[in-house]
Amino acid sequence: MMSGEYSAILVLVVITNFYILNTSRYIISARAIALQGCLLSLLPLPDAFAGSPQAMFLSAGTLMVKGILMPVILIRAIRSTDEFRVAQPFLGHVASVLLGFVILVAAFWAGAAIPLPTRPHDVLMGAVGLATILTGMMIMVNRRKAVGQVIGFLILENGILILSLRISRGLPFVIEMAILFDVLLAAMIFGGFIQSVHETFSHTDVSRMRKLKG
Amino acid sequence: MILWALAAVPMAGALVCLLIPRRQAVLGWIIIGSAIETVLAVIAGVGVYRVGSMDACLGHLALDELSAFHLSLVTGIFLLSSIYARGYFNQEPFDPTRDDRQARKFGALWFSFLGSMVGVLIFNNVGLMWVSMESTTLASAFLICIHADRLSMEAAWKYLIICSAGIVLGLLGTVFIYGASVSAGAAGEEALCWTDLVSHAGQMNPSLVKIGFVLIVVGYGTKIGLAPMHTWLPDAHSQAPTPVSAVFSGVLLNCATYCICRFIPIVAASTGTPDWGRRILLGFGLVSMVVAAVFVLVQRDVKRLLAYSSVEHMGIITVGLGLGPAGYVAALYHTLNHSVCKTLAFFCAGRVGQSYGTRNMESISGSVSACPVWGSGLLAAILLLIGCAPGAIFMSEFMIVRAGIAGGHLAVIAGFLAAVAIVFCGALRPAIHMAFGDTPEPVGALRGESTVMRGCVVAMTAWLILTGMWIPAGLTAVFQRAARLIAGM
Amino acid sequence: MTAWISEFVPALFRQWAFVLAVSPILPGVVAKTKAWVAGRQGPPVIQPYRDIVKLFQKGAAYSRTTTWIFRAGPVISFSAAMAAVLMIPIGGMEAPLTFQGDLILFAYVWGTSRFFTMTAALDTGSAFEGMGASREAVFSCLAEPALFLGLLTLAREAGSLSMSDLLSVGLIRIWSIHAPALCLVTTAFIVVFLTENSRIPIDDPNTHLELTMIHEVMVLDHSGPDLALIEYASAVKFFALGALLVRIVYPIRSGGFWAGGAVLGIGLLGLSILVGVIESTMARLRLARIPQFLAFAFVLAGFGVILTLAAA
Repeated sequence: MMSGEYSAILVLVVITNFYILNTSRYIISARAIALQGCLLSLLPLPDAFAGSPQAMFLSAGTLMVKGILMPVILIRAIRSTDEFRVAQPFLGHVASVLLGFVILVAAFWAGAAIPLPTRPHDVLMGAVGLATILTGMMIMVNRRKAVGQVIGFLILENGILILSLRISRGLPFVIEMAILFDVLLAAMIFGGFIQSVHETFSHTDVSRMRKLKG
Repeated sequence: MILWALAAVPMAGALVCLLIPRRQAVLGWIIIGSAIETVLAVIAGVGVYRVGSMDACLGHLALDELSAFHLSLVTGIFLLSSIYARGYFNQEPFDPTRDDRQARKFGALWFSFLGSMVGVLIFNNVGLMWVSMESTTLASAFLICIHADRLSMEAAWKYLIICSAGIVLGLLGTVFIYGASVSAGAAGEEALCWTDLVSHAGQMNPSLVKIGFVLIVVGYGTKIGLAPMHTWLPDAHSQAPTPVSAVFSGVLLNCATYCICRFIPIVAASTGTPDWGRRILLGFGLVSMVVAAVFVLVQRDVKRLLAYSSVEHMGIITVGLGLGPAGYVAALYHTLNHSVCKTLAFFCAGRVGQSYGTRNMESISGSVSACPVWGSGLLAAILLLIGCAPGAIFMSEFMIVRAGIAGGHLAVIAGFLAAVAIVFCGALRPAIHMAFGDTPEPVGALRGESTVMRGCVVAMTAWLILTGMWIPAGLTAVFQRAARLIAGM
Repeated sequence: MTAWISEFVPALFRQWAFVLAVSPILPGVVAKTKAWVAGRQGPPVIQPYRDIVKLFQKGAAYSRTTTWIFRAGPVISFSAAMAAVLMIPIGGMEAPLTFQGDLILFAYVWGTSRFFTMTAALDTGSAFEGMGASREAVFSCLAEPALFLGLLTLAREAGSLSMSDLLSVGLIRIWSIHAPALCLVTTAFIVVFLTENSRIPIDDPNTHLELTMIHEVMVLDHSGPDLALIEYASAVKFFALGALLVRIVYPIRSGGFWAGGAVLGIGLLGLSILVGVIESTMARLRLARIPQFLAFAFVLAGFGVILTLAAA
């Protein structure tokens, strides 16, 4: 795989980030997360073609967990709560997209400072990873519904995967697999929790949970 | 071999819990299971201190002095909480209609929680350590809201979201450390094994390690409850059933500090100056202490008060870790004292709360005469927690102050003493009110009282007062040998 | 001096003649495509020429409340379009009007045209037209930065601020290095193109409900030759911005005026068909969603700038 296609994948990841910032339906966000997961599963492929079976497994595992299972769990959780629309984020769509752009600029500025770039697209990769992490955080604080926060969390997790590929071509295989399993478990627990929150409160608007203070 | 057994017991325990039909049997089984685990941990710990560190599974599992100390503490506190849980849940059934099912769920999660914490301690690989730490969050989230009411659900959701997001930053930090390790020439799984990390920390790229360490402190710091990432802690501690609160405060927070301890020698060796990493710890520790001191003043709920006190004590431990080798010893000693004392406090507060039917400190008064064991236990625990002499906590705080003054950190120590003084005054007033105020109408009788539990309360109080006056030489040696690992020697 | 004039003037008139001859067919093609997709016969593709000719033969009606501003609007927007089109290079040679910084002029000529269209709309004193003008102002505020950032990306890579240099052979080299960035810029330009030409999904040129109109509502009161000028100007605008897009996507740089013109014409026909398909398959966005859509375009163009900067 050439470096041009590699950067194209990273650019698409950023575009999915903005797409999620821009959309006002959770199901669509979940589909965009699925797309992002599929894109991420392409990233270890150059190593896999270079003759590393572990990279192949990692790619397949990422596709399975991040591209298929997690979005499916998320979509089922969304369906179970009947709350499909992003209910008035604290920051409007236009403002959050523009803030996302500011984050992107900052990420490129900071990403260049990550030490030891070795490959030609490393700068881009570091920046995209950082931008994805920060976008995920922003979505977590900017969504009122529980589902929105989970979506932000998953984006955050994706960003860390990209950054780990940037820094060290991914973590060791065993650990990467353990993390994938852990993330899958987290997604299942989040899904279960969203359902119990819905049962207990009959809504999932986290911003209305303000009983505990001080 | 014993490491495998340590890992296997909680897993088997969780499976057995799912098979047991009756609630009483589940509550009994968690005592047996955690007792087995405690015995194993103590045997392993004694072995480590006699023979030296052990490992298994190609070096992926390992136990050294630092983790052996924490392991014994974790399992010990866990055993006490399991014993306590039996009485507590007899007083306060889970849910009348689904009681047995809830108990099975509780037991399975309780053991998974134990298993993931043991995993944090026995994995030699910092990557797997992170995975276990994340699993503690996942296993314990449902424990908070086992009653599934609105408040506990809110607390559990906050806990899940904040800790997951925070701990993910810890993963990012681990990734940076791995990058640094690769830059020093390591490859494959060994590049994240703690023993290998320490041995070639000197050749690591310092800027990668620095970024990584900051992320690790923030990430695991969320789980420790360092301010400003502490916001989940008071909610989770106050809403969880009391045995769970005790384990959270007494053990879970320690596991997270243990994770940070593992990275201290790496940072010191790679940056060349131990000061850089210590400054960060001092900063986070002091901020946590000050924030906790302010919030202690305005609490009404006794469990929230104890939770903020945990934030304060975690700040104290972090400050201790920032003060160099003498501070490490003091911090480890404080970890032990805080765990025992906070567990005692939660036990007593939970029982007193059950007896009065409220956790509001203004409604609880005269508990010493109303329920003598738990009331006076609560009073003693709070007095010890806020650092009354001659208590163990007073001694360990004193050691930290001495280490700070010896290291020339006078400003830090001034802030430290101010925060401790504020907490002292802030917690003393409600403690006295709860103990000696006018006793209201006859309070509810407690069911499920056991002599064992009462004996535990008395023993824990006695232990805390005793070790405040005289530390056994063996215990000092334990702390010193564990601190040597943190110092990278 | 005379040499310059003898070169400039024929080129000028050749360019105008070409644009005036070709541009009205483009809206016709869009309409025909939409009709085909909908399974209708549709008006012939030369219908816009007929409309313009017919409108020029009619008289204009003016409201008593309007002033000269109202009459100036169509004239200025037509002249602006004619001026802007001079900066588009056709074929292998430079555009008739070219200098460093002409891309800023290119962008702001449309701004001038929009300003006068809006003031003319406000001059009628009608509530509907004022509403349209206000919407146009808001949306162009968001579309203009996207256009500028996109042009900036190209200018940075081409190392020049002139449209003729931007759309020259150098583009082929830029495509080989910065393909992702150029894709982003192209996408942003498509959005700008749809916005500036009041097309679905931003605006519906054929809507019959004033409340939902943006651009069309501003020209409701114009009639006769004024309306003809407006129609012609919008066709030319379609041509000019479309040419920019076509040249970015398909940067050929050989051949003379007529060969290049032919290729450009084919490209524009393709673009018109694409617009027709977009118009038939998409629904118009709700007004509240339009700023989101445009902000997205802005971000894409900005991301293009960042990508080229980061690669340097």
